[in-house]
Amino acid sequence: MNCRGFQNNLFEYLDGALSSGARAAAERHLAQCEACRQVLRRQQQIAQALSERFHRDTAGMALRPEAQRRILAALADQSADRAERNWFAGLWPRLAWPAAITAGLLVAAWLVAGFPFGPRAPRAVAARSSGRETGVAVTINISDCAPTYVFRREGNFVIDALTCQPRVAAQTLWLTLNQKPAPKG
Amino acid sequence: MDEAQLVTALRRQDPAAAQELVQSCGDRLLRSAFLLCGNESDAQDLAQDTFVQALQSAHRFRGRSSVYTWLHAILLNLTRHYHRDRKRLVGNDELARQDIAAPEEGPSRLDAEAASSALAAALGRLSGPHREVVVLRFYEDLKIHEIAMRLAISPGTVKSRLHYAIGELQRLLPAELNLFGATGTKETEQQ
Repeated sequence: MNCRGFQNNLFEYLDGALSSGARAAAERHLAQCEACRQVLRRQQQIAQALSERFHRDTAGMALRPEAQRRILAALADQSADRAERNWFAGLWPRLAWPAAITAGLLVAAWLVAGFPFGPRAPRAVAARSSGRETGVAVTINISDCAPTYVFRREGNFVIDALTCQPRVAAQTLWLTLNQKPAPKG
Repeated sequence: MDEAQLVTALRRQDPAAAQELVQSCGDRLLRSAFLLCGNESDAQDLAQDTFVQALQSAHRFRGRSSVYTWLHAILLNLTRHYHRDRKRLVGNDELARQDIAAPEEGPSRLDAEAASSALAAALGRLSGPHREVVVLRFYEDLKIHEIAMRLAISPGTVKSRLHYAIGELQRLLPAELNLFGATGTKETEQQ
């Protein structure tokens, strides 16, 4: 090992992190190299001085009691949030079955009555004649717009304009569902 | 309460465990925060935020490192944000520009306690990454490979940052401190 090799591994040497072979080589080099011994001593002094100084300079520092209180208060807030979330999470199983049953009933009502809710839904009506027919009144509103070109003269100009007269037609239809007559005999 | 029990209790958000955590690690974490940021008031805030964040994420802590290592990793992350925000603030602030323009006026950014320490002032002039390796090496007493793991960088980068940071500290520290002994002072003078 030469000086460059030793100094490249100086920190690992100080950490005791070199392999036994590398450590033996480093020690052989140190035994014959005064400059590297000096570098090593200096690095040890620096480490010791900085470590001592850091610990001495910060020895009087302590976490303020209000900081400790704030940390515990934040934990209490966090626990309260968690409890609230748990309350909602606990509510769901209690509400799930009633909600599912209600949804099922609504679907069944829609299938049976043809969704009789809402303002535009056609109303199912009973049969008028024999009772074997059922019907549904459907009101159809048709609106359309017939475009009309209008030409008028203004001095030397002819001015054209496109106008639209909306027309609305409403028609109520009876849709009947005929049942097949029962086979005779 | 041993560490495993402490971690289990922290996951349950047990206030007694939180108090024990603060009492056992609070002062050490605060001192490390001070060395990393150079300001005791900010260090108090950083240490406090570290504990709050740790308690919020206790359920994610797998116990692969010691509790203090876990806390210190959170602190390092918060300190990086702190330096980033501070840099942005400095970029916009006239007063801060004056502070940069006249570094020879002394460590005006530091608290009264820090101002008394030339070492803390010199540390405050290092960049964030250099300060991190110095604090981890000489205050937290970590080995090169441990620092590399903690900072997610290569051991070579750790050593190069350490070499540079030590050189800067020697250059920045007043000669009367004679911190590094005659050899270091002599070499600095020769340069």
